Amino acid sequence: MLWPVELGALTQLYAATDSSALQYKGGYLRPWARVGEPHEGTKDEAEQKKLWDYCHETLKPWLA
Amino acid sequence: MAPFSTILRQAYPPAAKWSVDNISDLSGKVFIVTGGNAGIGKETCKQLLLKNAKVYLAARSESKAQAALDELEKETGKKAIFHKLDLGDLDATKKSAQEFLECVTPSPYTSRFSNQLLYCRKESKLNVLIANAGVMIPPVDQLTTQKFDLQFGTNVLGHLLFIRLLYPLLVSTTTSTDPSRVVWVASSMQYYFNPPVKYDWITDTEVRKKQNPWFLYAQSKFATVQLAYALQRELGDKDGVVVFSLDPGNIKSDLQRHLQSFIVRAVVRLLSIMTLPVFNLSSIDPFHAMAR
Repeated sequence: MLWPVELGALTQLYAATDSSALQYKGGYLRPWARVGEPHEGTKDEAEQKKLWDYCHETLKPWLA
Repeated sequence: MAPFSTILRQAYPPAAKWSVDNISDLSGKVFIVTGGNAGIGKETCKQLLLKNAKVYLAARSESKAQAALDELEKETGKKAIFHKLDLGDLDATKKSAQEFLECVTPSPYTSRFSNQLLYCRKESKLNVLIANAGVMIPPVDQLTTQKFDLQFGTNVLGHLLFIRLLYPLLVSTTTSTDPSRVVWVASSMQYYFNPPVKYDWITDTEVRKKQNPWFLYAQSKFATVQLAYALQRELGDKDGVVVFSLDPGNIKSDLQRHLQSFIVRAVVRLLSIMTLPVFNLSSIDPFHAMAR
């Protein structure tokens, strides 16, 4: 089942504009315009930091 | 891989309780939507314009975005402003961010002349950056200008650079009652990724070339969710900037139209029947290149 584009924009419009979305600060949202749970593996803070550091090292010449 | 119940709930979400009618007036607020020229990006621009936001539609080519710009004006009576951005080229991405930032304080001399206005926006604030553009399943040999995997390079590295370079403007715009936001569009494909991140899939290695492009896409979206968490924790919490990642849902897009191979098209249909997500293919569309 593929949904229409109007529904597809809903979750990011909610994240971008709604004051009640702020309660989910730093979180992951899912269709349609509600809080969700991503893959458990995305939450490993050590892995997040490793990727964050890798990307910043890679982007260093452009961030300077 | 996520539990089947999660996959099923993702493919068939409960009815929406929130609608665009809930969006309050956005007069005076500034948004950037990357990949705003097509699919859910264009629809996002439309709804923001209808609520009187100032919308920068960031895409690679103004001539290619022109149809979308015209359509948005026709549908909303308001104009989105084109902002040139090529996320597949880190030099061009840096230039794009600089052009946006430099306009914060344009010299009165240069800004008087209309030619300068093409890139000089005279913008002093940025409330929300919606990182919506994305590349999905291009041929595996395609790389960014700096020779990164095209999907990771565009979806992750290009966007992270753009976000980091514009971040000071988000910080200077943020207030305690109306915090600036970064909205980074991921995908339910992150559910299908088998962590940890494979760093040798990011650069031009022999290992990368042997991967199925769907796995490379899934890794790029898994990484998007990871980096949104990291951005909130490492910077956002300190500066009062709010970060989200999200799954927009499995959306009808231009994808099928752009796929050139019947077999690929058939496989995509089969996958979508099996509730695997097929997502918006927005401004950065490698299949355009294939068709030429």
